[in-house]
Amino acid sequence: MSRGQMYTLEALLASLIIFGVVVFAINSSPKFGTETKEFTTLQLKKYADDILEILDLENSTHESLLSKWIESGFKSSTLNWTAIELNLRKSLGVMMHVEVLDPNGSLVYSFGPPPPRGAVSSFRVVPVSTPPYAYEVRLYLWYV
Amino acid sequence: MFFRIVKDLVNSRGQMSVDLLIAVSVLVLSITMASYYVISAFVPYSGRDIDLQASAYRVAMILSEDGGLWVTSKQLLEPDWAQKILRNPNDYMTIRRDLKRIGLANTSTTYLIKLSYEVKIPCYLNATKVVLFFNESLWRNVFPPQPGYPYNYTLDELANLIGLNSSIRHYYYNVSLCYMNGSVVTLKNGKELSIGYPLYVKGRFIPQEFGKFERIVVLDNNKTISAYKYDPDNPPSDPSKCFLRLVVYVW
Repeated sequence: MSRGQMYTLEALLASLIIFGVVVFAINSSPKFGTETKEFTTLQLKKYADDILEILDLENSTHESLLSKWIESGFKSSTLNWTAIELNLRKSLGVMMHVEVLDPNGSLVYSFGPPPPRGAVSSFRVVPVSTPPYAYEVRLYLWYV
Repeated sequence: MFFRIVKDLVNSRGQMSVDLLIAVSVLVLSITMASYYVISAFVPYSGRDIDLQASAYRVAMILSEDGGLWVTSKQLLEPDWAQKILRNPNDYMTIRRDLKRIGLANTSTTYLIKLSYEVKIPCYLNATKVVLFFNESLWRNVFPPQPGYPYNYTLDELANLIGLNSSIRHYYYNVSLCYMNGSVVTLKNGKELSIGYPLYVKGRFIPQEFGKFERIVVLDNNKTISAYKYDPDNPPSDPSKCFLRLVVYVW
C-alpha cells in the first residue's frame, strides 16, 4: 500500500466531506427572496392580529364581541365565523381556523379545517364574566 | 492533470490520495462560494426592495394604530388633531405648525378620563380623521405647491406626517381605504378615499418596484362615508361586513 493513500471504502467518507463542503458553501452564501417571504408572512400575521383586535373591541361596559360569543356558548348567532371565513377566502384568498382553549389548555371550540404547516397564528386572551374567567382564542390563517 | 488523477486511481485500485481529497474540497468550496457571490452582484436593488416593504409597513402601522400628534403646548401632544383642525379649518398656518403626525385610530372612551386621550384603539378608525386625511384640497391649502419643486410638494409634506421621510431618497406613495373586494371606499358624495401619487396613469400601473402593506380596519361611524360602521355596543354577528382594507403602496 502506498503511503498517504486510503482505500475505496474510505472514499465514501471523502465524498461525504466533499458533500459537506458544498452544503456549507451554499448555506453560508447570501440568500435571495427570503425578505419577500418574510413580508408575506408578516402580512398574514397582521391580518390575524387585526381581526382579533376588531373582534375584541371593548364596548362601554368593557365587553367585546368575542367575550359575548364565549359567554353565549359559542353561538353562531352571536359571532358567525362561517361568514367571516367566506369573506376572507373570497376577498383575500385566505383560509382560517379558529380554536378556543380554556385556562387548562383544553380545546373547547374549533372551527375550520386544520391549519397546514406554515399557517400563521395569532392569539388573544379574552376575559369573561363567568368561570373560568378567561379563554384563549387562536386564529390561524394561510393562503389558499 | 485529469488523466494523471484517473491513471493514479486505476493504478492504485480505487485508492486516492488525501492531498487530492483536500484539493477537490477546496476547489469545490471556492467555485461554489465564488458563483454565489458573483450572482449576488447581479441582483439589483434588493436592499431597496426591503426598504420599500418596510416603509409601507411603517405607514400602514402609523395610520391604523396611532391617533396622531397635535402640539397643544410645549409639553403636551394630543391625538385629536381632526377636532383641532375642524375648530379652525382655514387656519392653515396653525395646522402647518402644530400637526406633527397623522394617525387615524380612535382614542379610548371607556378608560379613565385622564388616560382617555392617551389610549389608542388600533384598527378602529375615527371617521372624522379619515375624511380629513383623504381631503387632498385641505392639504393643498396647508402645504401649497412650491414653484421649482421637482415633485408634488403637498404630497411630500403630507408624507412626512405619515412616517415617510424623503430626505435621503424620494418616495412615491399611495394610501387607499378599500372594501374587502378591493374597490376604493367613497364618501357619500362619490369622492374616493385615496390620496397620494396615482397608481395608474392611462390604465398603466406605474410602480415598477414597490412595497405594499395592508391592514384590516373598521370605522366608528358612517355619516359621510359609504361603508358599514362597527359599533362595539351593538356588533353584528358577521363583523366582516364592516371590515375595510387600508392599503399602502410605496415606490
